[in-house]
Amino acid sequence: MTFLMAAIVAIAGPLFEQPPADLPNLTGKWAMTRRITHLLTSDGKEPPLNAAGKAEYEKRQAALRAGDKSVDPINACLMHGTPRLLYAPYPFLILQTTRSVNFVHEVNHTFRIIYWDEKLPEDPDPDYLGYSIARFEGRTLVIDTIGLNDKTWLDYSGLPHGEKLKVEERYSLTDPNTIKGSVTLTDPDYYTAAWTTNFTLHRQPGMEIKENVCTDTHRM
Amino acid sequence: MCLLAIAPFACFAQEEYGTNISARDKKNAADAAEWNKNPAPKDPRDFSGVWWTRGYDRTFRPVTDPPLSPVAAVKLLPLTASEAANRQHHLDMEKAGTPIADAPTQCFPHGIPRLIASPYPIQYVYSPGLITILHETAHNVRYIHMDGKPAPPNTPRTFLGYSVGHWEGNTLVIFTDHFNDRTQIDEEALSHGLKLTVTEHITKFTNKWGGVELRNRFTIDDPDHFTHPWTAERTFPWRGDIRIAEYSCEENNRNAPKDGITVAK
Repeated sequence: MTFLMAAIVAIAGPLFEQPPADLPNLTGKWAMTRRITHLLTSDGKEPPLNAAGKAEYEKRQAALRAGDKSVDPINACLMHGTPRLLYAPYPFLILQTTRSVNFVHEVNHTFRIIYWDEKLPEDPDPDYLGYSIARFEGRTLVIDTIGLNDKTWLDYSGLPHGEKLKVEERYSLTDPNTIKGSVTLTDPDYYTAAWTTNFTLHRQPGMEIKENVCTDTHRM
Repeated sequence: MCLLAIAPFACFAQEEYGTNISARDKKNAADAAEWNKNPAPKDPRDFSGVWWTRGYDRTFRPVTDPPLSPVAAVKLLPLTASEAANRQHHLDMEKAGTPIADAPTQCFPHGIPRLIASPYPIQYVYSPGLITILHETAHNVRYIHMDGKPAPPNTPRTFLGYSVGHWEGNTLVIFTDHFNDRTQIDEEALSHGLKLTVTEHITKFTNKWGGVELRNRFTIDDPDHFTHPWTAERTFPWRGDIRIAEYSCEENNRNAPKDGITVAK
């Protein structure tokens, strides 16, 4: 094993900014174990939409049923947003380093660079992927995100959110090739309470991350 | 001395290219001190973190020693006859106010070496067998395969090609091929075809102001466009003071071309 590691370093050169040995290391290629198009709560129920949320969701659902794909912002090649990027049916890299933890997605070559900051800014300008900070809580990677614009959908079915949305992602390695994850969404504009949805990621060591260019290949 | 009200360009030229070297040195030294507060990694092969090229230059020109003026350097471009005509056509179209659309105007990846000129910050990320370069501009991502293996069979042709890297001493050498022919060499006018290969030599150095920089010397080879390979250069100061921001090309893209012509709105 030591010889093998030495051989890898000899070919690939030295490694820097690698996570300390006493922390879980999530670096690798990952994909969802199953396609999630509509988010359900961790106990399998519909998300707790409030009246405004139900109205907006129904409007989007009606448009989709009528075949109007233009209502979905990703069909204009806009960024999927956080957390929807996770549910895109494409693999992604997690690159965990001492500087930042990076999620680099195949879909439309979209990436998030998340620093190990202790505090979120007070009132960041909203954008598609938001302002995120990362930390380890025991053996679980926790990412908190605010500063999201309201132009993105939470999932493929059209679950809405407003600019007050807070997202907490949790990632736990349950074996070397499996991450059990959850996303907790707090958004008083469209939901009556915070709610949590679960997912599982599986390692994809043999998979090449392809060049995926939405404006080139995605024709409506 | 420049007279701002009468000849503002003279002021700009002096500030930028200058006769007043000491003022520029002072500014660069102050910048380096600011950018080093969060210091660059010490190891000469550790490029991890954020770097940002200075200024904006729409052209690549051959590197010479000593350096030549842009006008003199352009004469050294080893253009084939067809590329010379093609370059002139690009220049004429731009002069006419109808520039030929460059890949980034459609939110396509910029291509290599075109991406190297982008005036936005970049971040190097190390992981086993891979160096990933994250570009702020239009969220371009480059994967530099460090596993010693060549491009796998049936590797598709793409905007950014397939990159294989290795270390020669403290220099990261990146060889890229498998390009499509839909990007330009530089923003101004140079084109390439499917035979393009690019070999980059990236080295860390300390500049005379105490700042740390990466120097990327890249050799462009495409026998259908150039009579022999030629080498251009960009440098990238360490920027411990900034982070990569979100860049959505796709939102309200005001440069979206129509019939292959860029129409700025």
